[in-house]
Amino acid sequence: MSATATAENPVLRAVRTHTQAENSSSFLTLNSGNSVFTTPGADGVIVYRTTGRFAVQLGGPFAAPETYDTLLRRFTEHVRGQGLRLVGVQLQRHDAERYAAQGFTVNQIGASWAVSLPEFSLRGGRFVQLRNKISRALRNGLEIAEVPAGDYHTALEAIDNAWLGSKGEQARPLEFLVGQLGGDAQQHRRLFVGTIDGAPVAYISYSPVYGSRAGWMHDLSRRIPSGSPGLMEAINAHAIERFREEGVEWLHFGFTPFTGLDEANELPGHSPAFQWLMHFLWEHGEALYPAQTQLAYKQKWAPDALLPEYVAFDGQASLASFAHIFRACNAF
Amino acid sequence: MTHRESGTDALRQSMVDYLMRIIGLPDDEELAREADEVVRALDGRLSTGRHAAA
Repeated sequence: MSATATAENPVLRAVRTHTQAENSSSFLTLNSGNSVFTTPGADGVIVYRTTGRFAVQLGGPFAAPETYDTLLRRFTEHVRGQGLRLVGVQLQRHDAERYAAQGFTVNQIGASWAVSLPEFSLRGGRFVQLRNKISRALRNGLEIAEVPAGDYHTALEAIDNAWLGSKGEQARPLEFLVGQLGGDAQQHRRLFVGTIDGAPVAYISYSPVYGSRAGWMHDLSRRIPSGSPGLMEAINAHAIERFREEGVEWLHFGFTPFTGLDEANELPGHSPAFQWLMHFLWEHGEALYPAQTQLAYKQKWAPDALLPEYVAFDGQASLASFAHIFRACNAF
Repeated sequence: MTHRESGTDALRQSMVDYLMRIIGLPDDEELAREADEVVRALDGRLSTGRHAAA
């Protein structure tokens, strides 16, 4: 059966409970606009969006180990029965192996990145540029505070509009694989806002990460385009200090497609053609997704963990399926 | 010339071209089928190359 996701449905319980895949983006399943599949007798959920003739699944099933395969099999049958083609994205290694065993074509599509916080420090030569950027923002009057999102709705909207406006007339805000603000799920997120002379100029939203690398994910982040250099870096450094004081162990930077590609990460039966395409898009795919820019920001923080992420095609690797991942994200 | 007879670089270029065309016409089922054929042909070509090199 299908239903529209809300924070009160079994999705939150499932992503908190069934963490064996260690998916740092699991909280994105709570985004409004997602659909949820469950089946009687199987403890767990599958979260997806339908776009065109495709069902695009976010992560694998968040399910008890003994029902994982059943849930995936029934969902696959459900999707085929609807005349749709299934493609899964942001699968973790644990998921990838299970999908390959069920006959999917599975390829690495990118990676997520994470920093271990207990040992983290901005001291040392490799963080000189980062410290300089942060200092410039602070010298320009930046003040940072953790705030309740509800009190800053108008300010956040103004930052969003200025940010989107700077991207050109064709720009569209991404959805699905990026975080949201507001709604019932907001109570579980944390929001840090930067202001200069009392005016909000940038923000970063962090969503919870469950499992053995529990912590927070640096999620939605926006700034006004004409602001001081170093706004995002200063806000994130502030949040890191807060998290470290609280004993948080991991800060995740989330998924970036086309990054961290390695032959050693591929599974038997993968598509070498699609593997080549991922390398090509890393080099030349800026128009589709600015992977190099995104990774450059994440690497500033010297991540300790590179976690490969996968795409799974029902049948052979498919360009149309791949394109519909981006369509589901409102990229076109 | 069919996709199966094309050179590896031509198939790679064709794959990129099909991706761009699909983004422009995402609901065109014929285009999607043609793209699948290119992916199959390139998979076959690259798999053969790997086996030959092994």
